[in-house]
Amino acid sequence: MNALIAVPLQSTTTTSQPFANVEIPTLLLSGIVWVPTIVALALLLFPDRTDAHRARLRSVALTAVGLVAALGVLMWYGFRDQGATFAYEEKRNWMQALGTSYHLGVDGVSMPVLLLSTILFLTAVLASYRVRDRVKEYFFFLLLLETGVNGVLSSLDYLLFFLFWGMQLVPAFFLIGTWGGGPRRLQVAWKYLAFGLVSSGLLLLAILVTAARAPSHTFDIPTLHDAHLPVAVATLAFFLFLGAFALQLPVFPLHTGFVDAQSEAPAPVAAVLAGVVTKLGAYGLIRVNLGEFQDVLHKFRVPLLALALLTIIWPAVAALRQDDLRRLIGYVVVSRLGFLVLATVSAQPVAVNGGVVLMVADGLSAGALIYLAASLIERTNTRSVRAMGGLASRMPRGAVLWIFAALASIGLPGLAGFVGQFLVFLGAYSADRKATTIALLGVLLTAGVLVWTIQRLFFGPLPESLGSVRDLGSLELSYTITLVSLIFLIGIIPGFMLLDNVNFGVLTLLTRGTG
Amino acid sequence: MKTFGNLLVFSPELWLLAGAIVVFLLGRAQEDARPGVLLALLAVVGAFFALATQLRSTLLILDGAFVLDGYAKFFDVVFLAATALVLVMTLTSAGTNDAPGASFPAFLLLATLGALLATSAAEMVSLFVGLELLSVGIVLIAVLGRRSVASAQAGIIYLVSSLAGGAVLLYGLAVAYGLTGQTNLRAVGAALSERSPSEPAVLLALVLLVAGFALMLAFVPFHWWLAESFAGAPLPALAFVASVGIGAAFAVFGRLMQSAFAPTSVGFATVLAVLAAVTMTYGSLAALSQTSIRRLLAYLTIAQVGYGLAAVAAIQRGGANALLLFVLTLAIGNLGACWALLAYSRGIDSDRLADLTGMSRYAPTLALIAALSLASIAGLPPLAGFFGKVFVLQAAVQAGLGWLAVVAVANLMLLAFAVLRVMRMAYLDRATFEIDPIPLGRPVAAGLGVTAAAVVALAIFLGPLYAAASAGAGTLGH
Repeated sequence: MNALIAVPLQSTTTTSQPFANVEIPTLLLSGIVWVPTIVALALLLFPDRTDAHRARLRSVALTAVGLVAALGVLMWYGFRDQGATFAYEEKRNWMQALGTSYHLGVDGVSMPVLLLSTILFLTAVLASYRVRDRVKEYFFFLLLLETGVNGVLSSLDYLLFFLFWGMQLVPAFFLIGTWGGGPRRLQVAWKYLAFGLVSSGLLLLAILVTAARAPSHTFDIPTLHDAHLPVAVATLAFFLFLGAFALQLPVFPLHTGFVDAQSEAPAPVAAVLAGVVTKLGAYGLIRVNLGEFQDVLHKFRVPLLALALLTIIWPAVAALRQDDLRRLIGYVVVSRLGFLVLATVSAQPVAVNGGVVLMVADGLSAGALIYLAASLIERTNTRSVRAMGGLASRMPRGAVLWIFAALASIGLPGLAGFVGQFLVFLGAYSADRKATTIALLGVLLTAGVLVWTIQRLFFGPLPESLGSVRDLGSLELSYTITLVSLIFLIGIIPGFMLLDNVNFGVLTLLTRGTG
Repeated sequence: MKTFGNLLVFSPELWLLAGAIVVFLLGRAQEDARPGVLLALLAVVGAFFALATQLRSTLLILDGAFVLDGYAKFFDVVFLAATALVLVMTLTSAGTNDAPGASFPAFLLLATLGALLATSAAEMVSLFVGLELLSVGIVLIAVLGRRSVASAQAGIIYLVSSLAGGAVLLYGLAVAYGLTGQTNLRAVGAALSERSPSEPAVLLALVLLVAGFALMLAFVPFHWWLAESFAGAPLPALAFVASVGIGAAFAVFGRLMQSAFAPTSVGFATVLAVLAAVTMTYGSLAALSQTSIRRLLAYLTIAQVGYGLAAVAAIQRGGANALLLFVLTLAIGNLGACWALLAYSRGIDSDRLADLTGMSRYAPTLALIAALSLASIAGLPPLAGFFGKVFVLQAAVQAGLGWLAVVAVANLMLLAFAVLRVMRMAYLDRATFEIDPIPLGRPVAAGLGVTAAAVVALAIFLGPLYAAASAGAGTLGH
């Protein structure tokens, strides 16, 4: 762990980057962002009448997300954070007079989440075999959503950042409202949209205020990083950004819309929402609120800590009395997101490092849990936890995968969640002992919920109605095992995710510009 | 001598005038509108090329009555393009009961001529003449639709409101002239800046001028006529008003405020900002609850007028730039949305919004273009309308009108709701009735294709566009 706390930046080894002297990689980020959109537009030209047509649409969409995931892995392999600069940077003139450019790039904070996004979207397309209605439009929106998410993660220009932020909202609305399962799906979709629109509105205002009041009129994120805003403006911008990201995250008490969406959205969409779309809020908190406005953050530490604790504890308590399996997972996801707020507010490099790992770990385990829950619900025809039981005997594979995903969420040593959680607590404890102790209570609560749920779902007597339940099929195994094996990999070899370059990214984010 | 030598600078306008005359003469000879439309298209293209030869310099015409500066040229290009699109799309109307009369293209050219003249007017009299020519042209094309009583009614409503607006505006101009003894807008500005901003006569002039434009541009509470005339106007007239008509009025309003009032310390920005906030809020709230397609389009337009007004309110601090780009995005978004929705509405012979269900099945191209254009109108990124509105917001923030930016952002959310509701109906809701697919004429498809491509691809060409708008706004300032 010493490598994480160490500060040296001189070991920026650009020479070891495999693509250092090649021109092509400068298009990698554009590819990861725009390939889904291009394929989505192409999908519109395909017919959608017979089953064969639908199968073709599926395979085209799968090719697209597969290609993007391959790009993500390739970039991760070649990724070395270069200290003060960004990797795979692309900068093209757009509107110079306005101070905005097409500027993409990733650092140690965004790259792991970007990789997570590409993997989750790959599994989401695999898991979408249940969608039979308006397949073309479904994949169209799902692919647009991926462009929005990946774009937010790789934008280094605020206007571009906002552009992608808006692009991830509308597809999510249509996906929930049209392909959602429950009778309340429309209502839930409008609610989700309302939250999202308020969030983008606040974000737009924040960006305009920041750019208008910065000494150099620019939207460029790295340039603004070194800019000094007047205290009043910085405070205003901080709270506008905070509002936008808190709504996206979502923090207590704004999480109800998200939990509703979790219960109504089709499983692949729910997995993407819980796994990576919410992480955009956390990413924004770390990148902007912590990275750009550290002074303001310090000033309002106490109320923000309270917010983090409420976000951890309240949904965990709510999860305890939740019977609907999908909602239960939704509450657990929100509670885990609270740790990301805690990591941000503590402003400790170690905690932020942990936050980045936790984003990936929780994204993976949330995705796995949601897919497995959907499989359980499909087989048992009920969403009620009470109505299930003893399923371990009928679906041993499902039980094993569920247990691993749940234990990863709890933060069991040896699984991905542990690494992130441990580092968050390590950092946060040095910043605020009391708050961290209370947060630990939240860990116990979610652990209790998840263990209890395992017990209720898989052990005990098997209800007679569930006597003929089948185990997971090979397609379901393909995407759940992908996620669970990554959870293992990160847990056993934290270095896989926790390379020094994540640390460099965090350190540069925390130090640059504040001096 | 100079005066006549300079007249050649008028060649874009002369092309339009000549085109109108030829089309009129042709209209005497035959009933079919098609040749007239093609001729008119030729005149617009000629005007465009004539304008293209003059893109480089700022020119004064007729001893300063008109000025062809970057500001005017930017608008001229937008208006000529919009007129050309309207003409192209009317080509299919031949044979249907919505066929325009043979003299329709001629009046359209006259209205465009009015728009061009008004945009480059640097002096009160020419400004007024240009605006009146535009209004009369619009009234005539509205009536000539011959669609029904409704279209005649729409024409009369437009006539009354534009007459009233013109009259009030004329009062305002007269007061300003009486105060300063000048008709040239810059000279008026210089003279006004020496007067006390709280002088009753100065305020009276301001109030009358703003009220005149309030009637022409449908600011709340003078918005009613727009909804009423949209409810009946024939499609080409409606599309023309929603793009060129409103754009030209904004062009004149912007120039008037910048030349005559910006140099003074008259606090018009606050007045306009309040009007802008009220107009955009009213428009977007009303758009949420409409059940008629035409009225929905009307209230969306009113909401957008609010954004344009916000740009005018910020004109002392770089709002002109935003205004230019905003009018461009407004024109393409409105053209696409109005034409696509109303073409479908005509096809199913219903104006009910709820009857849009199934649109994506019966008219996929129209549905796609309507969705894109509406999304642009609501300012959803990354479409053209988003940028148009962001520039306005940025101008408002820079002009110290932060509260207006907050209101405008809140309204963007309302607009998104209003528009997504329509998109849901068109794309995702089950159709309530069965009809044959609605055929789409090739000219309409081509025209709508151009607007859709512009809505989508504007982001890519923003760099040069922004530079052109900056240059245009720069020429307005001094």
